[in-house]
Amino acid sequence: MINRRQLMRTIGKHAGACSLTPFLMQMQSQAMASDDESKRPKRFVFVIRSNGVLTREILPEGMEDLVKERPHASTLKAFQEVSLADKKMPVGMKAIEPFKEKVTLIQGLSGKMINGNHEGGFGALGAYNGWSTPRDETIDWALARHLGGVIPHLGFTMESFGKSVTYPKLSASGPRKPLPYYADPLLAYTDLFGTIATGGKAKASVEIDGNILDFMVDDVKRYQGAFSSEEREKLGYYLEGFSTLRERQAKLRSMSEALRNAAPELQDHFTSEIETERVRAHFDLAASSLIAGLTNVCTIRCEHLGLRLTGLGLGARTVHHIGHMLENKNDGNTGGLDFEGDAAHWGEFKVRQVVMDFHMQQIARLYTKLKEVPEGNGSMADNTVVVYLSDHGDRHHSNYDLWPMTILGDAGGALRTGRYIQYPGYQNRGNQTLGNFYLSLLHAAGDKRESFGYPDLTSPDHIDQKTPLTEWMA
Amino acid sequence: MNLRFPLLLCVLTVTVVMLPQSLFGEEDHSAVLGSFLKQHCVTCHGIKSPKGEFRVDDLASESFDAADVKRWQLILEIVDVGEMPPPNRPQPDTQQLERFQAAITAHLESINQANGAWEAQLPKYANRVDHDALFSGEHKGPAFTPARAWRINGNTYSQLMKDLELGFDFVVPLQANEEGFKDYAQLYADEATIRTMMQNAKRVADSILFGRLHSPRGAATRNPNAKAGRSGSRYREIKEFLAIETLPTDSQLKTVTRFAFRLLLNREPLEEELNRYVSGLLLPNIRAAENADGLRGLFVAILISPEFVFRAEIGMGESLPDGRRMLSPNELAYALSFTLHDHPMKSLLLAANEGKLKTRADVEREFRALVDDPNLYRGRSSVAGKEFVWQSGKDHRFGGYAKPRLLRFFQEYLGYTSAPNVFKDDTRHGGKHDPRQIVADADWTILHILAEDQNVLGELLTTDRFAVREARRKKKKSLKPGESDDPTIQSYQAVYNLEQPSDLGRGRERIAMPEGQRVGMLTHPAWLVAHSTNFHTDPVRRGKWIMQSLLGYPVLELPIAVQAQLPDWHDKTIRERYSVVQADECWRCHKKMNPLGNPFEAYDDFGRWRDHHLVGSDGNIVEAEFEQLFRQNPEHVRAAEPKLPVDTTGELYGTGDPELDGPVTDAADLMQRLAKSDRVRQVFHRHVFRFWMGRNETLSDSPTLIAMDEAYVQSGGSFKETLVALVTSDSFLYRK
Repeated sequence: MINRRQLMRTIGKHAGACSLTPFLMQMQSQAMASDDESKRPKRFVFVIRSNGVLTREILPEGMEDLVKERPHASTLKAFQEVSLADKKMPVGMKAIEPFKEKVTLIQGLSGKMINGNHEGGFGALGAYNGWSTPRDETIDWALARHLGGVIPHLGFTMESFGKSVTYPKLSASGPRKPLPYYADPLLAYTDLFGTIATGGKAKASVEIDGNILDFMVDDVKRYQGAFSSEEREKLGYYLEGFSTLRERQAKLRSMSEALRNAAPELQDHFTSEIETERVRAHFDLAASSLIAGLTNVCTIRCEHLGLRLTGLGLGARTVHHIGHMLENKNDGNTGGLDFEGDAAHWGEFKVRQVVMDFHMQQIARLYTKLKEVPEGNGSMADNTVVVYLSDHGDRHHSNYDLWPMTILGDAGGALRTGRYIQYPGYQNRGNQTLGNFYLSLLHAAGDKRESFGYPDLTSPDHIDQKTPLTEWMA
Repeated sequence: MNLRFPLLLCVLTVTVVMLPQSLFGEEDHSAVLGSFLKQHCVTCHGIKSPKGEFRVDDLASESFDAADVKRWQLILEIVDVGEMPPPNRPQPDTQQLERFQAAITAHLESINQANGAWEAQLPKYANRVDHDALFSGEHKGPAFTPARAWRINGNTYSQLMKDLELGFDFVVPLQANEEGFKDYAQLYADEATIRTMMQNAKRVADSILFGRLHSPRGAATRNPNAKAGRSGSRYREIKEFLAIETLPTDSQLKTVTRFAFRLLLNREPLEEELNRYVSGLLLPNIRAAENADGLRGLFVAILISPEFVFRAEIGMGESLPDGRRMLSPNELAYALSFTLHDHPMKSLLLAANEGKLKTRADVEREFRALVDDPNLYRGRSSVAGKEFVWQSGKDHRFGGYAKPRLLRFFQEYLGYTSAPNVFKDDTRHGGKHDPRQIVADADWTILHILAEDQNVLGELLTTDRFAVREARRKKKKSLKPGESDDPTIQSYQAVYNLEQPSDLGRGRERIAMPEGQRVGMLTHPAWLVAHSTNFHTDPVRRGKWIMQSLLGYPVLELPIAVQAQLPDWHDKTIRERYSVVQADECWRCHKKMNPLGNPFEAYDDFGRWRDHHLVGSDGNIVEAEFEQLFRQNPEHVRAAEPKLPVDTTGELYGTGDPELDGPVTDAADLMQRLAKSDRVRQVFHRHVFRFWMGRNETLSDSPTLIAMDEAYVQSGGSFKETLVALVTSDSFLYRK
């Protein structure tokens, strides 16, 4: 068996021309591909919020009359397309106003193939009915698999303080294969950027981890030998886990320069007890991981129904409570839904606006960081798409017939941006589903598959669920 | 076979060349498929008005088109559960059926679309083994369990981590089965598991080496290198090792490695292992850093090693001529420990070491001792002294019971612990909906039934006495005895419709429910809430549960083409709204579920008994779309009256007993009949088998199941005797 140190030596000697190390080739190709626009890596960031994104939350200013407040999907009749050039961004999206020529707001998508309970679960990103169990891969993984990367998919989630890694019901790499998310920014930092440590102690710690992984690969193989083929196959997952970790560590070491250049600055918000502060750290980590070339796809879940948004000055309300403010009209907001007076009694719309503003600020920060990194004739941001959506359609208790979408970026010109697009609602001729939407992202990334997710069988036959959104594609 | 492990195949240098399935008998397969479809399917599912709009005549049987995969999978599934061909049509014989299924599977395998062996082992497929054959007595075994590595489960892992002083804020990275019993031997560990376990292991190692971290809050708790606030190791062996300032000698390295094995794996290392761990891991680590860091790495390695993560049951004991091997004394010590506990029992490990755990008689003696061990009865007051007593004083939901696995079986079997996951708005409740309390009540009710250990299943299915938490008094002086000023308790007790909730005495005892309102655990609010939706009752899930868990029938998985959605008929009851499933394509399955679930309409979705539906002044049923109604017309809801009598009729089928099958008037009628059914009792024992064996039963387990059933019947319904029969069976004792 080649141990890790020998492997590292091999890599060191042959870097650049070695056929044994596909990951190095990949990194190299990433570095060299800058001349050919079409081959440049695309990047996708999914930002997920709870409680739904209201239809009115994505309406540019002055266009509030276009869609009724909390509309029935069938009332969205005709297709509409409005340029954002002479419009002001919706009130919660001021932070991305500077990038509005790269923004697309999509209204009217349906997702009736999804079913759930306050969250669409894996279905929200998978376009299938899978609240608790993944039925298939989700869009973030589908893109990650296509785009590759040292760590194809990175998930970050808001969680209660003290959690390190969790499995929110959101992303999956296949049937019954949920993907893990970092809940602890400090742990994520150590995992992703720990190899750049130069201090004796930290360096030794990384080396010892390598020794343990090497030793375990050997140990598991011995253990496997005692069993029949079926049990060996089961233990294969476990063995593969060690091998993958070991390979990943080797890869991270080999790219320490890129990591060092891109690593986020460790500040207090990485270890803050305030949830929204840690969400900020997650955005920092996502930006750094993209810039370092660690990954091409990140999913950031920036809300959690059970937690509080004290960091945004929203007091003791839980995220779930915010979703219920409309139902419980007299619950704490005597001034009505639009009440913007006394902060303690803000109406739901005002509260939601504060939440969305926070999310948009984070997206703007991330996008700005990517803009500062040159790539080809432009910047990394040119090849990046940020998708902002809720895992629960258009409201806290959604019936999944409307999924308002906000997208920043055009994937290297593959998508037409700077517009508000409104599709006819569910069941109406011309309606489009989440499947169509996700398929568009895949096509923009260069994966020209025929369909994504499970078809919505309640939609009339005239709805073609196997095409990307032609009005959006460039 | 679906090749899920290309990497594994590379490293193991597998010498067996796997020939593609298609080289063997493809012609055969397509002929089998073609003739079966022609003979049994095409008449109804041909080109001309195909039934259920499902055609098979255009399926190519030579090779599978990717576009047809879903149809073939559905055919395989529907034939497997015996739904097709329908009973009024000529039936294929068993051999024909098997060949047909094998042919589809082979084709699906050839394009990587078949369910692998892994899926077939999931608990949700267990009912596909023919029930009548299992209990016919024709199958004589020999019973055995395949040699296996049973992955550690979340409860055991948590227990071990806590025992090793990790504290409480760690993630348990072990996935459980989604449906059916959670802990099965076929579960695996993967990269995500290892990553999180490694993080936990580092923290455990720090606790072992340097003592538990004092500061419970703040960033320092999550820094694995933080030593501040630690009290120092509580182990002499560790302290001695850490005191060494130079490179440790070989004997010092071996001593500390032996200690690590004893502490974490409960055994001495073999000589070969000892050398490997010292020279392959501990020494290189020490050379890379310091003594303490190196030792920490050793502990981390053991805490993620296969022996820690998996429990091997290879059968290292005596061999029989037919190739079966008995579990070794050590294997038995573990297997028996985990029947009742979440950790290995010292007494059993000792018995194994002393040679007292070799024979079937030894196993029975030790198991009875374990079950009856009075030292484990840390219960108090009312039921202390009886068998199966629980440990009180701890929060039972986190495994505080002395024999946690006993209650867990009933929790997982009945599925009532998911009640808190079904979110319900208090605004609809009128008081405070407290699902955790009603789950706790259900736990205690079951523990009482177990403590009595007579007619256990009958009691579960028909008892009208539930344990209810006592009314707590905050201001003792100002209240009369028995009065409660705690609105939470009062409103949760209102769920039981108890007129005098204060008459509950001091302990959580079983008390009689209002007459005629409750019949067994399926009418317990915890079960009813767990099997309801956010806003409604759920006759389908309830009927499905009875069909699977009491009657033992396989359920067709929701066909992909079906969109389960009820119409928004605000003036109709749930039962009436479900009339949409009487359409042909739905009713084939729903007729087996809805009539079994409908009698529970006598309870609202909070599990409260009712005899009328509330009807608003606008004529709408209040329970239907309450939220929307309330928002739009609160005055209609406030003026609602109990006007419409609840229809609780249903139908029981499939017990195989003509005296029992037939229309039922209400839940009491249904439950009383189910409790009388032999089949229901046998199906219950199939579930007991699955939970404790961690796998699905097969026909060769038939003698074990029959022995369990007989032991139960002959002992007057003792659950303990059922378990004794199980742990002394060949299925439990032998591996192959």
